[in-house]
Amino acid sequence: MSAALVQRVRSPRALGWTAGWVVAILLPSVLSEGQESTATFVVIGAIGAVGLGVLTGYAGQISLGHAFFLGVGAYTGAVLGANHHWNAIFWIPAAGLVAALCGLIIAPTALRLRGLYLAIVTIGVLFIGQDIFLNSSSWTGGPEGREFPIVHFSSSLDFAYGNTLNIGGYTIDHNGLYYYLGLIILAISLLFVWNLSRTRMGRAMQAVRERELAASVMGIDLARTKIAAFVVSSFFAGICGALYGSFLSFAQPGDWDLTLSIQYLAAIIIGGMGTVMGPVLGAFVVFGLADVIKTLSFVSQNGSGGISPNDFSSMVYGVLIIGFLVVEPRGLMGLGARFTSRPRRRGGGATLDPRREGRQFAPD
Amino acid sequence: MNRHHLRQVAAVLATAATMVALAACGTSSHSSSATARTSTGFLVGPGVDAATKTITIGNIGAITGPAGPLGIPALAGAKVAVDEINATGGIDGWKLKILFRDAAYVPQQQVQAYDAINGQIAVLQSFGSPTTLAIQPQFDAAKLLTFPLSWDSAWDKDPLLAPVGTPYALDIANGLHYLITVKHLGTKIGIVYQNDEYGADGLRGLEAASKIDGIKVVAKATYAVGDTDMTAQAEAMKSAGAQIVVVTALPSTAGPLVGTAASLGYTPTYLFQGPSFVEQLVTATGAFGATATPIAGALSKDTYVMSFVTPWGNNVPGMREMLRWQKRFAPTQIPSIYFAWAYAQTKVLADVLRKAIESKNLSRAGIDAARLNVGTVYTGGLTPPVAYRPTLGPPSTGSIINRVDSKVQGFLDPVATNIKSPVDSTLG
Repeated sequence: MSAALVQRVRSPRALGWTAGWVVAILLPSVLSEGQESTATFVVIGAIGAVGLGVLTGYAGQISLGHAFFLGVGAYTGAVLGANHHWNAIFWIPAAGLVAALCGLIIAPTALRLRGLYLAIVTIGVLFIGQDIFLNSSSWTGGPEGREFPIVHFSSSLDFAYGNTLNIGGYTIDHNGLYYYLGLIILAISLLFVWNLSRTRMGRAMQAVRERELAASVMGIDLARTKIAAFVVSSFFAGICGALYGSFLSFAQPGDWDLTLSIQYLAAIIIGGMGTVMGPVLGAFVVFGLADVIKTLSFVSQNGSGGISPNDFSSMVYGVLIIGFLVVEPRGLMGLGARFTSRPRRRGGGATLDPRREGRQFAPD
Repeated sequence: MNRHHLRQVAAVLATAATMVALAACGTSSHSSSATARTSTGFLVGPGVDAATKTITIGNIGAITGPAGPLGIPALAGAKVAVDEINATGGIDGWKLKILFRDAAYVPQQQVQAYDAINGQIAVLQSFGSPTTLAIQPQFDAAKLLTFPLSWDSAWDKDPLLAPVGTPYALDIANGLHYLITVKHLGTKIGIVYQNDEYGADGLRGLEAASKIDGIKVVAKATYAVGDTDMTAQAEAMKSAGAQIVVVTALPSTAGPLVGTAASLGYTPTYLFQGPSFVEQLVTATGAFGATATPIAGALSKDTYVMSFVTPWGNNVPGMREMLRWQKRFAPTQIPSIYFAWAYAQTKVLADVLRKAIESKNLSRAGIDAARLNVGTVYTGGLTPPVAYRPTLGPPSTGSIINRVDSKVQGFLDPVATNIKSPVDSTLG
């Protein structure tokens, strides 16, 4: 092992990552069944948020059409997995590929539009998508909705309800299986995005985000960069949608709506745009906070006195978005950088430079 | 090899190793509903505490969100039924307890709530169609008897679902039969329906009813949950000349539809699917004598409501008994068909539990078996009689039809009970 690698491994950042993964892997063993299903929704949501992070966080293209790509992924999974009995090892990636293809078709609209105009166009995509979903009964079940296939790899690895997996005395149930599958895919997604952000394409995306004109003067192919961002983002959205549909087991076309898109946008704003881990933290806040809030003593579960958990979590969630946009636009990652940047700078080497990471999103 | 490559290779290897480990171990099926036998000879499952003689009923409802106005009285009705049973000595000494979770009519939250309480309940009440469908595979696998607080036609195909009431589709077919062949109110029919499972069920009823002599379906219009502008739908009905408009909606949409149509000078006969109506459509607070809403006049003109329960204050034994306990345990409750219906459902549920207690089997399988052995349950005229059969099919086939009348308590005047249409058999 080289000296540089030793130093790298010992750096606080690497330790933080390692600790994070260890916690994530051990988490289901300390959670109740209800908390475990919330954790699974968080992990699955995080995959979609990481995807939107590439498009909006890195390439600066605001999209409110994310729910459409989630829907495309979910229905691709459903058609291939349930109607054609494909193995999950094929239908999960296929869901990503079909969604990416849709992203490729829609991306050219982003070439001529920016900022709010692009946001409006992507809402249009969402509405058209809803109409298509509602009227393609053979794929989506039409307005009544449809069932989604349970993940099935082989007769010995089947995620059906009631099935458990025993690894050295440690039992993983239905929710746990989905949690770990989501975690593995999330890890691969993060590794991909982390690498992407350091490639020529990733840096080109960030240049496009900062100022398109300057980027194009530097010789960056705007069309190629934006299309790549759309394709990557919708690929992850597709995977996320397929897992979400499968874990939820039933969905109606109306579920892939603007609210869902806004939740993903909120996740990357709260977590921190233009960072690798930001969307994951944001997904925890957006998809997991309501469940944490339910455990607070002044929140009433049964509607008799006190404030209802759903109302309270909506308020907290709204206050958080306003708070972060006003006080710390770099999101939770920015907060982290603010608290840790000083001691780390002394250590040299692997610093989290707030000028480089967690940059404030500035649409022009 | 530089450190970047090393790290990537390590990550890929770790992932591959995890996958292989997962695949090598293999999943096995097991039943989570553990049962045990008590010293008194009772077989008990999850949610049953033999020491304190308490049975826990799970209730996943919607006291917030778009269905809140229906979910709040529904929860109150279930609570009053449980309070009544406990106040009168319980079921053979066994007390009931409700474990409630709010899912706001959101399927994802329904799944989370189910996972949170699944291990602590003996039987479940689940509010809404799309939400109940989202947890259906889970309670099927857990063999948990579930009473849906909705009337989807799909329910009577699942042996673990115990609906109380007549399915939506049958209700519409019965209602149209009454309005067309009994009352002769017209033959040109239009429908405004919600674009989801609930609306589709209304459509299925209309399809079956299309076999009624002389009926002509002239217009169909749909809307999405949350839409409040009903101009296009009202125009579609008006221009097609529909004499009877079937409304499969939630009150937040049914109100604007009637109001918009009236402002266009169009006042057909309306046939409301049960959930389209709520007392607050007639007066601001829903209470009798409160300020009338702008659409109260249009609604009172010629609107029929298919009801899964008898109207508030109707002089039947079940209603009299309910009102007596409501005054004691929920004195501020305004007249609500959801309250009455959830109350009736909880009483049916208690009858099933009584049967299970008689056979000394309070395991999940025992409770499910008790449902089939309970025979026909009469709710004192609150709902049509309920009977669960091993061959499945709807537990009730008759419908209660009311006419909106702003001059009576609860604003519904019963015009026919236990109406059945000859086309019902086509709905299976």
